[in-house]
Amino acid sequence: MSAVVTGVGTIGPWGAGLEALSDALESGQSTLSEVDRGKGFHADSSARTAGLVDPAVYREWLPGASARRMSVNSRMTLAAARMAAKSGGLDEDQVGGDRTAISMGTSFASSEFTARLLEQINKTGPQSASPFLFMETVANAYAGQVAMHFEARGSNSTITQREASGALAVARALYQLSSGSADRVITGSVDEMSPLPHALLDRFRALARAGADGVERSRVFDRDRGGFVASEGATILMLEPEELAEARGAKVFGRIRCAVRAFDPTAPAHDWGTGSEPLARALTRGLKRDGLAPKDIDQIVSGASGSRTGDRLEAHILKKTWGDAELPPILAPKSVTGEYGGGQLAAAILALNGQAFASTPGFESVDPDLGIRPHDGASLPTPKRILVSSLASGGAACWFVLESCS
Amino acid sequence: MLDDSEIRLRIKKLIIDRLFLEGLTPEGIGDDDVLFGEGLGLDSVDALELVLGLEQEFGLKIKSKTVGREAFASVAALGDYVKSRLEESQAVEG
Repeated sequence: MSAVVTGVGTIGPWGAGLEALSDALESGQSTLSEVDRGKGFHADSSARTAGLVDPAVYREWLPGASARRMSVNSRMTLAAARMAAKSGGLDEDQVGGDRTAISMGTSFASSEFTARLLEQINKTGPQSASPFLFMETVANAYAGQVAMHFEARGSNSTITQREASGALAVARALYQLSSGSADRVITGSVDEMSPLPHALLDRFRALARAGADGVERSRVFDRDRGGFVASEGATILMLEPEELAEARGAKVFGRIRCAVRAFDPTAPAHDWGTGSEPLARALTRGLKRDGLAPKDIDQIVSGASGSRTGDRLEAHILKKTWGDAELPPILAPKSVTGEYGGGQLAAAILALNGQAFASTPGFESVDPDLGIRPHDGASLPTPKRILVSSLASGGAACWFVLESCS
Repeated sequence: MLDDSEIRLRIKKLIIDRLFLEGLTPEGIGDDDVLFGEGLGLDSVDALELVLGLEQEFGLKIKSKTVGREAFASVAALGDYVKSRLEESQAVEG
């Protein structure tokens, strides 16, 4: 059984709302900010910028006093969830109830609050640990805050599988609706990029370094790519069974036709693996199970981010899945949004609805090992079906197919 | 020994800073305003945070079981509680 998307709320370095993201994707302009290096976490030679969110862009979506104790992740999640409800024309008191579940994803949970709590305990002992900070260090806190706001009493879970967390959360939401355990799932992804994880990612050599122009840029699928730009933001999708959405005359942004999950045991804990052959088989099998073949896919919204190993794995899976057939246009929204799960989810919804994408920023030369040339800015016909591809360092893999309802 | 008004002012600043009550000023909190439920609308998690804050601000050790609910009724009540604890400490030291 498929499900339909009946609401979208999104926040990122580019601002808040689908319209702001649409402008960024069409122009190909990234929004980068200097990371606070004053904490002393960073090496002298580290990357210096990230896609950071200005809290002012979502402040109006926060419910006043009750947001005061929330971490950045909770704030962005709740703001995006409220935006999603409004975008689908739902009154807030219609959202929750016994049959509304929440399925969230996050890569690193609330690193800022966790760092502050650990520093507090380290300096002054566990008795001084702040209850405020502790509550929000739990990775499911954001999903809990959304549940409390909407009084959503269905199941409530958060998946943390790095870059694939958001796609896996959507896949879980689809399963919950298919199994009949919920009538609505609030799903999506949130990530904050505080100085500590930024410095740690840099220590793992995961981040893009400045080019000759001094700009740190994700060069997705490029021969000379050297890492990704870390970002933060949130995207929330409201999912419902199609018949229920139809019955209430809901606005529909697209259908999630199927989802496929797999794992790559060749992946080390901190990097992408090399198991493209079995992952391609898993993707092919998953599509076939739902009556689809690669030829039915009109566009790919790739989760490639500029990582040397991650982009290679993505490219090899796609090449093996399509075999001798020509690949459809490959969109790489993380070349604009930076690396956080939510940007890709929202960009995929836009792509399904005919979004124009600029030529992939940062891409100059085809990597002969990959053989992929991402979208060149040409005008594309509105797709019928999109494959959203999300591979995580550490081995998680998830794909889902978005389908037009028109 | 701190006087009542100094203690109350420090408690008000503590409540605002520690409980992230942006937009409030010490002048905006009356000495007898109800802190929990009605009034400022604080809850049990705020109470935990507030106890930690009072311990650090005034160098006290507060065992939650020994503090009556009435001590948290208002800034004035909290001030009286803090003052009595400070006096106990001084008496022990003296």
